[in-house]
Amino acid sequence: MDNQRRKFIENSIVVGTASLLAPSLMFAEWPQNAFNETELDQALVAIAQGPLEEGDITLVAPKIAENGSQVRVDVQVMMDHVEWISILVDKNPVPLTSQFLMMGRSEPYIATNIKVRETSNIIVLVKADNKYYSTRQQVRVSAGGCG
Amino acid sequence: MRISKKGDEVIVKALIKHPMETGRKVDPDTGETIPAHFIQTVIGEYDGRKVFTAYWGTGVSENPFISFKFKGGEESKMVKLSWFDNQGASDSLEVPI
Repeated sequence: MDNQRRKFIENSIVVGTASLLAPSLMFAEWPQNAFNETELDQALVAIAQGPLEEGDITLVAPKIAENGSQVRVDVQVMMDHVEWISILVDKNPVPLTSQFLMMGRSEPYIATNIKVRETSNIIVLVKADNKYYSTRQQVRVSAGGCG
Repeated sequence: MRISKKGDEVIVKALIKHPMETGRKVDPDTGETIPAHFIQTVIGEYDGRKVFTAYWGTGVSENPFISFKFKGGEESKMVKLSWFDNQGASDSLEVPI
């Protein structure tokens, strides 16, 4: 094997390995970069490496929240091969509130309570089959939820 | 932690006692900022295997509520829920289905 050919093969192996490892490594630990972002657009870029499409996602959240410090969010995804579900709030000081990884026997469903500082959009972002899907809903807040 | 089983599906619901401090609140008595103190990772295990991982920031509410579902859980086998916060504290709880 000449040197050039060997180099090409070595490079391909490196590239191949990187792309295979990337999806699982990406959230193998707490995603500090995404939680550091203070603007929604940047937070979305930090967690989604592709365009956002409309998916089969049911987001249940109140239209009006009397208390923004406890807003129940219920997410059910009706798609296969869901890798993770993220919940963001566009007007919060830190838009990314939480990220939920589906593994093994997981059903693509989660419910949790989040803080919503002021009237905002709740954005649910889902990665499934290497594509990114999102849905959103506005929540009007009477009393804020962030100190 | 409450666990219910509906057909093949196991539903886990839990309340965790934790202040989930954002690091932006000021103590009215001292005038000092209360340091950020929040759960970063929650792990759900069934029969010794991970079925769920959550990464949280300061946007999750005080005394967090969490619910998730998984398939194929058998009665009397254990579900374990563990959390780890940004100050190095952690706790876990194990309950049978």
